[in-house]
Amino acid sequence: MKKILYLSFLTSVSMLSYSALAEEITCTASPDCETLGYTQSECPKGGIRCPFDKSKMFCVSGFGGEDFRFKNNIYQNQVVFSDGSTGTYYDPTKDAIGIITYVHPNAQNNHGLIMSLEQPSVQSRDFAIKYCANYTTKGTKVGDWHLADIGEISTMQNGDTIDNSTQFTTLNTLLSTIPGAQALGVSFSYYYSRQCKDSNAYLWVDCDVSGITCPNGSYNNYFTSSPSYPTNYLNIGGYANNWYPLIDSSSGSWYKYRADYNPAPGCVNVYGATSYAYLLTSGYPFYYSSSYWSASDNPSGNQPYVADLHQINQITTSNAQKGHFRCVAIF
Amino acid sequence: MKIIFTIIILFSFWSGHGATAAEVGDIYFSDKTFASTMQSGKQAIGVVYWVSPNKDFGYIMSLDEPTTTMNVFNANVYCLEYYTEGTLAGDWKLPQRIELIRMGKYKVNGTVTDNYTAMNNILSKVTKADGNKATTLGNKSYVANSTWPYCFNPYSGVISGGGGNTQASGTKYSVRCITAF
Repeated sequence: MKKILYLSFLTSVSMLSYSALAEEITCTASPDCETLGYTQSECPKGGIRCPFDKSKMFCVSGFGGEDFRFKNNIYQNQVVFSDGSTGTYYDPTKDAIGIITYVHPNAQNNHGLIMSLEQPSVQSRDFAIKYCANYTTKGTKVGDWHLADIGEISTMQNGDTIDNSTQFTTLNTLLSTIPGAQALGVSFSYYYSRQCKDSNAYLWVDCDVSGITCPNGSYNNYFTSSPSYPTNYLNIGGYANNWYPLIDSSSGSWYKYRADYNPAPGCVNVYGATSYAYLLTSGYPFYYSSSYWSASDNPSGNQPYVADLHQINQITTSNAQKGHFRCVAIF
Repeated sequence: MKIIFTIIILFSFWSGHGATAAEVGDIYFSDKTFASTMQSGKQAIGVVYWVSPNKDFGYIMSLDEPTTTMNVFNANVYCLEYYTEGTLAGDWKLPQRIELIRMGKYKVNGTVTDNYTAMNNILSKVTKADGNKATTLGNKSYVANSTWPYCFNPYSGVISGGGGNTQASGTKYSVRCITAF
């Protein structure tokens, strides 16, 4: 609201100046639209075009142009709704937009960090930064969200504080109660294809490739004692903790590498309990990683900091090509 | 005339709405006020080291730190018991990682913010209630409130960690307590 009023004021003043000086001055340089706050080229949720350059816009939020703000005291792990209210549980009469992962410690409980409900597919870090910079939800606007920095992503990690070693797990439990929300860490971009096996070798297949093909390159024989994974993908944790080569139900011998989290869409739980393996409905196992990009770099090493949210002791740097990410917003 | 009146009203509303409490580098006093320089008759108790995008809330670091290093367990207790003129035990805390990394040099989206130098420039000009100068940040590791004892070097911006988190064990690190507004 403050920005809109500011824009209205500046625009009005500019227009007044024009009319007042029209008789005396024949030429005046137009105000710079970006300086006035019209910094966007398009606004999915609606916006105001700069009167001096129609290609520049100021985006307003999705409900009446109000800036998002919390309407009540907030607490960690509450569900956030588009109208600024929060609650311990999902409210089907409202639109959920995120979960509070951190409450600013000023005793007023009115500011904090929101984690988005959406889990985009694994991407490069540059893509992740741009994606989050343009991310919006009902009730928020472009610019409200950003790729979590290493401190912010830490608020989603097990071991977030000295007395909270289950934050990641808690968040995923909560996410499972919100329709449309996607679990942290679940990845179904990769699975191994029995179609591609050659003797004991199993090929990692990128789901971005349409259909099940067998491209040349890294294959994985996890019948050996040290299974590997595609090294170009962000995975900083241990194999057994992050990549779950799930086998079909008939053999069952690999169910010990189990996915403890909610199945991704298209997956079914073959054992009927959340602590057992999930298989893709097509019959192919999926793999899991809880490693996430951050927007932070090591200032000394120029590599991005990354965090494995499932493990309390995994923050490092990585030059991997693709990884998970999550958008956050501070209000 | 109506337009001018409306503009004046709008501007008044805009300028008075969501008043800024503080800027990074402001000194925090025991009467819960802020100023960019030391104020006669007031006791400084902290320095603002991070403010929100709208500058309506932020973090304040203490002006001193314990002379000995501590493991994360004892550091947590120390900060929970820390107090100053105008504040009570419980008003301060051991910073979590989200709070600690903003205390020093950090690089986000390719942009380096050297809060280490900025904070030390301020801290070196602040006098504590006992008449001594505030303690500047050091090129050393400060511990965060986390299950796995992560630490942060504000000079280099490097995050590392390790050690236990019980009262009797664990790697010892430097400690700087914070509060918030």
